[in-house]
Amino acid sequence: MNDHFFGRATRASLPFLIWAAHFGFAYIVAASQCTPGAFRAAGPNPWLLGGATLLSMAACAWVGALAGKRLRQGSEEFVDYVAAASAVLAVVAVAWTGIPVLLVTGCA
Amino acid sequence: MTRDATLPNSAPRPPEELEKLTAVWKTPSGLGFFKSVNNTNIGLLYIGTAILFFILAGILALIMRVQLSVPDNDLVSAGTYNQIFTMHGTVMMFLFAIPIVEAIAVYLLPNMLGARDLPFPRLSAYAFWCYAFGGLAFFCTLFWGLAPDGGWFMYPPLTGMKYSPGLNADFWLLGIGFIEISAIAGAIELIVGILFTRAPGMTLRRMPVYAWAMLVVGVMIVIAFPAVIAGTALLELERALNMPIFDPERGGDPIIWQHLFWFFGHPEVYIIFLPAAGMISTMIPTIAGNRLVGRRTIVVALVGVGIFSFGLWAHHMFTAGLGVIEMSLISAASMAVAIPTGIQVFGWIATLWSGRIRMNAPTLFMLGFMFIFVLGGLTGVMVAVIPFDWQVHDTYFIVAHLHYVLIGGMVFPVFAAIYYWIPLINGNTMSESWAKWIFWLLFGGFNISFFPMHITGLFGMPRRVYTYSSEMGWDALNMISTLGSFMFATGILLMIVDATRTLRRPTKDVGNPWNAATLEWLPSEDYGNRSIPIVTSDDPLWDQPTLSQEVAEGRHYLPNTATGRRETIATSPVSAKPTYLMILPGDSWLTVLGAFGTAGFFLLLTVKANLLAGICAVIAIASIIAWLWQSDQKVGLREAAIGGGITLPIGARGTASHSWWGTFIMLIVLFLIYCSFAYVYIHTSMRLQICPPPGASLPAAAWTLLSAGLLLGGSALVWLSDRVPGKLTPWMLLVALACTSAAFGVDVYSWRLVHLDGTRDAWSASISILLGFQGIMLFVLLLAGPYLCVRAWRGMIVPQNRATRDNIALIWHYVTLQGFTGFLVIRGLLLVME
Repeated sequence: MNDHFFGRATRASLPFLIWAAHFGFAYIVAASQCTPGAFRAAGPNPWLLGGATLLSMAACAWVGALAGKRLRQGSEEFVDYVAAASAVLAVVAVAWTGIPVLLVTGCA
Repeated sequence: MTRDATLPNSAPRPPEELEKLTAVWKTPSGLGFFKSVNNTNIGLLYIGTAILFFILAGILALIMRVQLSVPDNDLVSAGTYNQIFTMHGTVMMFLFAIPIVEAIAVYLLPNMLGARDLPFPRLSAYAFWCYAFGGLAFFCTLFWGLAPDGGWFMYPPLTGMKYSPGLNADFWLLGIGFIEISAIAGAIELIVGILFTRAPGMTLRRMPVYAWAMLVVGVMIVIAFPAVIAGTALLELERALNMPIFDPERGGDPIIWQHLFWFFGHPEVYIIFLPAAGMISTMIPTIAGNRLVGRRTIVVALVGVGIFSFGLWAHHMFTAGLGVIEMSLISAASMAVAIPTGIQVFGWIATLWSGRIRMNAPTLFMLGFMFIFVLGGLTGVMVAVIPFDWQVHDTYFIVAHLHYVLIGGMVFPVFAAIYYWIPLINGNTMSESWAKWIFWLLFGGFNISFFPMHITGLFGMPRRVYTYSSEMGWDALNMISTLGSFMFATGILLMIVDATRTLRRPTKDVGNPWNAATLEWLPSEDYGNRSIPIVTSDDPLWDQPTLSQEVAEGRHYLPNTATGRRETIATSPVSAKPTYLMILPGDSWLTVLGAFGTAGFFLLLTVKANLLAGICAVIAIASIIAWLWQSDQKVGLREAAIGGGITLPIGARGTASHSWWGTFIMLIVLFLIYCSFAYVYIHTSMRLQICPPPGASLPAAAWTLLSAGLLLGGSALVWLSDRVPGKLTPWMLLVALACTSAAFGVDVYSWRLVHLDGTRDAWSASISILLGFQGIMLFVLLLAGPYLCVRAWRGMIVPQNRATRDNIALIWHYVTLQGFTGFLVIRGLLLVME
């Protein structure tokens, strides 16, 4: 591992990992707040889920902007291209999976 | 002798060099072929066996279609029909779809990457033989009426002991459970192979898109399969030992199975689609005579599909009673995955658009794939819409959708791949005139068979019914579907005949019949390429026109065998710079014997022949230990020249070593299985009004602290054993083993003090299973620890041969980590819930 494989792989796929973390967090919050162990009468907390969605979108956009800046400065690193392109996909995907938080409430 | 300063070696090469290389890599003839471990040979066996299962499962499909062709048919009974549809789905998914995509990769990748072989050829051979022995025995259960009959996704409670008391479900759970292990072994080979054995200069950016697809798929298998392995283990434990994980009356929940199964089952769709997409991305530029449009973006899209696919599992569960927000999240993710998939499709269309298409057999099948797969994708978006899914769930609409996705998305690309790559075997191409007939029979037959099923489903016909009444109005549609299925089968038959004819023709020079750009079309023998090529572009055979000749003349790297053994160049994972010389194991019957023992153990255990199962287990363990004993041996040299003034060390240690990576990935799989069990504990705990449930309690914290301390002590001793004089090493390892064993003993004892009973309720069962898994890992250490000690006493742990030591130390630290995870999850959740 003399060419920083883990670091580069993480940098390139960070937006997708943020999407996965957001999705996992939203699913776990929604599931747990509708079960006896952590029940919330009004259903899953929309502020918590909405905040996580905005934060995740901002994080993906930030990673994408950094990668885009490096590309504009002439970087030819594959990792920068992957990070920028995956940020675009991840922002859309986080926004998409965040829509239910705005539209749907309750557990049933 | 001529020397080109830009190439690492001069030509002509000394004649004895090729003789030695050929002798070392020679494939045994006759029956000896079956002990071959060379991935190119194993790949062919793998592909052939997978196609055999495709034919067998296809015959089952035809029986079903005949049964459904007319109403009130009594060709087969309801019970037999249940077994047939279960086996059709199971065999197609587990014994054809996954194995064939891995098989094609195992066959193609060594040459496509410019390697002599992938890093773990014996592991590939073992995985193949496990699959072949286990799969054939599993299929034969059909002839004794013992085949599983609960549907390919085997939902409890239908498959629990109460409603399925026979052995049928056990055959599925144990049979498929261990065949999944062979898929994981294949994935480890592919991941490490792709990261470590690419030709020098083939950076990740230049790596073929197909290799990218297989890298993503390998990682997906590692993440997805542990869930279903855990699920099958849990259901078998409920059936065999009365541990009520899925029994609501004792605090269990059948939904747990659905979550675990579909967390594997949905990514599985992409696990078989992405290799097909990778093949398409490799074939289309050749067919169009044009570089792949949006190559880098297509790579990103492959990774995106792989990751997004893990957010879709519950879209198979929209009628299972999940919460409305969970379902909406899954629905949204189901639509989001269409974006990266669409990027790939548009990339292919743009490549075809901007090139000059040659209309030949692979082209026909690729166009067929695009048409059928896009239709399957569109109905996929339809069923991602929850209200629509509620209407068509469990109807023939779903049967139509899944076949459009799977046959369109995987079978047609595989057929295109067979036409495209079959010349690699003996230089002959299949008949173009036959191909047109075959294509239209398959394309027409498929659409005639499956398109009407959308309508049959909308008319309300449920899937899996063995017959129907004429009054339902489904007669004509079913008859059309049956006629289409036989048309499809005729196409398959003709294709097999043509492939057989092609393979029986005399061998001729393979050449590069399609003028492709990828390295598998370099001249190749048992040893792969004569010399290992230097790659300087995305499309090496187009941009390096003299590459074939240079490689064949031995002018590139390692035109010989430096150590007198099988070897290849290991390169760094990102920039593909040569790092060390990787020694590869030779042919052996041990892999066949080990697989025979493994398959025998699982299958005999199913029929409760415990003594014979035990004997098979001993055979399997002994074979694997003997195989491992032969690896990591001294080779006499410390470094070797590969040309171009480069001298590489022989072997590597720690994270630079491929074997460390293989072990690391295996441990990720084990950890994810453990996490699946931990999820079961969390799920059952969260559903309780009072946790722990009445009658159950946690042991005193002091016991847990003592156990944790002993675990840490064991790991610390293992760490220290590498830093003391060699003679002390084995003794320290034995003390470490005593510590780790004592930690487990203390843990078990503490739970016995609070009368933990895994049959009382699901909560207690989930803790028993977490404990049991820790016990299994301890069993592994009880084998591995003394094995390492013996090697140390025999003087086999030296600075050049540290793989065994490093890997066992890694496993040891993992057992400690797993133990700590268990303590934290069990106690931490209760703290959070309070």
